[in-house]
Amino acid sequence: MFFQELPLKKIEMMGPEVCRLGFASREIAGKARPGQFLMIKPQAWAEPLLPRPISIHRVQGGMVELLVRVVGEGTRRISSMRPGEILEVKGPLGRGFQVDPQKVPLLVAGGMGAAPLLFLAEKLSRSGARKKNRAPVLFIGGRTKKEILALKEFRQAGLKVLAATEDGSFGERGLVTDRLRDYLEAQSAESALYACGPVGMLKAVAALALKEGLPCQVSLEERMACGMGACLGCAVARKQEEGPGYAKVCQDGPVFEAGEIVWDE
Amino acid sequence: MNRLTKPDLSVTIAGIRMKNPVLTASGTFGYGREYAPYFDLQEIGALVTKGISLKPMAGNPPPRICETPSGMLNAIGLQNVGVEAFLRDKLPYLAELGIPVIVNVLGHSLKEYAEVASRLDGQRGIAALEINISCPNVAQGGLAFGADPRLAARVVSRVRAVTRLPLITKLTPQVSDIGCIARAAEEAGSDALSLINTIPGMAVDIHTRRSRLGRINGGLSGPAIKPVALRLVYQAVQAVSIPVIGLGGIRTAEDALEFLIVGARAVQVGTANFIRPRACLEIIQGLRNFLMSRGINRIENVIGTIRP
Repeated sequence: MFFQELPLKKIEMMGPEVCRLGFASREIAGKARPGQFLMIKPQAWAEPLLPRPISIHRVQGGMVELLVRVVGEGTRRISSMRPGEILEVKGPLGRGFQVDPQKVPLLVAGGMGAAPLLFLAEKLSRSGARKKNRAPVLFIGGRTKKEILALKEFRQAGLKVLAATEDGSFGERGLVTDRLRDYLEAQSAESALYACGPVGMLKAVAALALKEGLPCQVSLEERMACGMGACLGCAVARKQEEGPGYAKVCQDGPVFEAGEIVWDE
Repeated sequence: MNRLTKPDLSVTIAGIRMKNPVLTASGTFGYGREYAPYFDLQEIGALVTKGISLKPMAGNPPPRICETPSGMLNAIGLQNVGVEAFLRDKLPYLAELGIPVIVNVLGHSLKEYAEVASRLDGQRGIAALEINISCPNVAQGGLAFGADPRLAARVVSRVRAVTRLPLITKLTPQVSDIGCIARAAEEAGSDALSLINTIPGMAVDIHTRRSRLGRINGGLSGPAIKPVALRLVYQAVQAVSIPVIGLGGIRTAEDALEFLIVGARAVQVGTANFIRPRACLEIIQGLRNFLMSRGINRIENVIGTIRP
């Protein structure tokens, strides 16, 4: 894990709410694994006070890219930074996706959930997981076409893309989990699910995985102050031997086995 | 003084010698190991652990934190591994660090405080206990003990009776007369005081009209509380003759110096650790630079030098 102060190399808005930013760090790029995240904030003691947890979107050479959705004041400040300004970066943090090379990877992205899954997709593509008929599949969804992110990059990474939007403006009309359900009912190959998106979507994906008997990993999100297991702010209810307790999203996750999570809480 | 000589930052509190007056605040530094990837923990004056209860505590339902102007609210709920797991899994690592380790002790009853303290007594690697009578985030215990001088004194006496370890009593700001509670802890046998714990607070999401925390109330920390903390530390220093450790919103060496000048013999750094994991180290270096630039050879010569 590193704590670095780095000049922003690039930052661009991908629409009204989402920005993509990039910086150079050989150390972070070298250690980062798909599903891991970084804590970032504008330099020094400027507001926002606390860093924000952002999943790693892409690593190319020594460059690290993140997607940030503006959800409040903190992310608004980050999105209004300019190239050359200093970003405080802590990471890479947490437990990422554990890929089973024997199974066909099915990636399920809802909205911003596409962010960490592109890193996974590009890693799968580089590690040669694209054997005949075993190419990874991306299920991607959002409310509207605007929420479908990084489509071109996923396709370049060799993924077959099945999309759905709630308003029908892109792909099929409906939920991404509808497309996943249809696919799972028709296919026979041994597959494994890797999902990131809103909690409702993750819950539905977990239920499908349970029904089909497929391994399923989900990447969760929670507010956190430190990202390193000290503040205990990012609790998620987890099944444990001694009964339900809380796991730390930052350290025990953010990627969990879907079966570990208490979804009803 | 020769400007090339390194100034002496060491302080002694309750018989514990610390190489500098910068400690970690309980609940912000985990069990130490979490920060080891970021710097050499031997650099800090002393390490204060997460609060330890008799049995493991699961903590409060999320969301547990939210940011507020220049601060943060937390309602963690004293999640911790419990004293047995602490002794088995956490203390061996801490004991090898070579710095004083102070264990923060909490309880829901007088009996529980005493039981945790007696379990920690005599264990290798523990330099002192910090008695937490000031946490706002549990239904019973915590703050209830810290807001009443008689109850506070009873907690300290009960713990005093079961251990020979130096005792630091951690006070809440949520009292009308800090001097009164500080004297009560001193008279009951506390060897030092630390203050302030977080200030109870609240934030509301105007869209959902729910509290932004899972447990309605939380404890406010961060730069926002520094002026409040500084005043209370100043008042506590006037009220007692035992050493006072100051904390509340310290981010920089300048912040730490304010506390030292009003009479704190050491400081604890809390929320700043979350933001900059090497915050303690940066503050220590900043103190050293301050002394060197002014030709002051000992940090002791700064402590309690507030002018009328």
